[in-house]
Amino acid sequence: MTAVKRRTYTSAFEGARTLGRLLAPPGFKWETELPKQSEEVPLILHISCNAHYTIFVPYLAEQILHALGMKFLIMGGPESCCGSIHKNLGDVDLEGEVATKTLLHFKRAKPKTVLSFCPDCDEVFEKHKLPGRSFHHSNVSELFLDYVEQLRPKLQPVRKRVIMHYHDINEQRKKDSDRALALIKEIPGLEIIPAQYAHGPGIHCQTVHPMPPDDQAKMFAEARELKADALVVPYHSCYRQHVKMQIEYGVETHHYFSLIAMSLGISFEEPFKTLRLLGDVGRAMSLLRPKIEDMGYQEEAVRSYVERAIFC
Amino acid sequence: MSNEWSKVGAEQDFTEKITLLEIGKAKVGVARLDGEIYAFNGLCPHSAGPMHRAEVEGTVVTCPLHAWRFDLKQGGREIHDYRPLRTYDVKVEGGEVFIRL
Repeated sequence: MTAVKRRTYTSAFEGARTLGRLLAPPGFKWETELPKQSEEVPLILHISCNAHYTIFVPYLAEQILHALGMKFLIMGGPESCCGSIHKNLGDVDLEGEVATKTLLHFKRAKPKTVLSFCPDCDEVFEKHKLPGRSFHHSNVSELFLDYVEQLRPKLQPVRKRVIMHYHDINEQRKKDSDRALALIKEIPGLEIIPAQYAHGPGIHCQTVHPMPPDDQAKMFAEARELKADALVVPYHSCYRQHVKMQIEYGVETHHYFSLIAMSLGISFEEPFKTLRLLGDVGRAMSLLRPKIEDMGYQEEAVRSYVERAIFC
Repeated sequence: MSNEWSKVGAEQDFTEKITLLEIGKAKVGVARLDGEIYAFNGLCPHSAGPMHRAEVEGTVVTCPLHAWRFDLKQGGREIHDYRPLRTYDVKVEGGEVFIRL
């Protein structure tokens, strides 16, 4: 495989496919295709394309769902794309085709609920929902909060001072942020500090429309001033943009799943953060090289994905 | 495979830009890649994506829907070893291109 410099389907999807596999915890797997006569599952956990760069996030969703005793199927890979990448690459007409095909694919397993944790996927799937939709589509936070009574007795103290980063451009995103906050409020020992500048733009912080650097700096300067240990974010895309700020401000960025996982005693690593905090692509590639060789990937291609997805 | 060859155009008509043809009921993509003319199914075997809108790198064509990637030089093999893309025989005679489905 050769590296592609401009952003294309090849680079976007191959980057997600490759980094997802490279950075996945041992044993963490997802389905990309279901047989036409699929076994019925009540719940599908959907991994959005860009979430493969932070593959520990869906891994933690899996672990938390296991802790709740849920039976579910994980669908991922570019094969489960919602179509937002197509819209962003200028093929607006393909967005609906891709979304519909993915939703029909999910339908094979006759789920009652499909869980996403990506706001883009939530919005695109809602826009292209199937007529007479047979399953409920929701953000993972909704289900976690529905099961908070089961979760609560399992939660152990996490001693951290944190600020909750949030998005509230529309009702749905406000609900996601409110639910993430409600969930971390359940964690004993966690101190949630009110902050003035923790508000993110748009439906999430993202590479297409990132949080302006001045606002980002203000958010982290305030967090440091308030002696926060961490900024807690509701979305993996916010995590991708903010995790590097730890280098300058000494304030960590955590996805809210991470805090729940810590509180549940789930051990995990955050390879995205480890690589990004190394500060440059060369050092990140040195760390990844043994695994790249072991898995048979071409270093030049992986380097382009790391540059684009982790050091963007 | 049919024994019938269909004349689809002059050799110089085909470039790296994929042309979508209809031969009978079949949608067929045709392109000249690395100097060779290739003909292949116009629909991706994964989910019937439009292969005439594929991205091209060398002899690899990538479906825009989910980036399944097929090497035409290897008979349409999908490079992750998913299902292959069907390819068709091509011959050039007297400057004309013929395809056999």
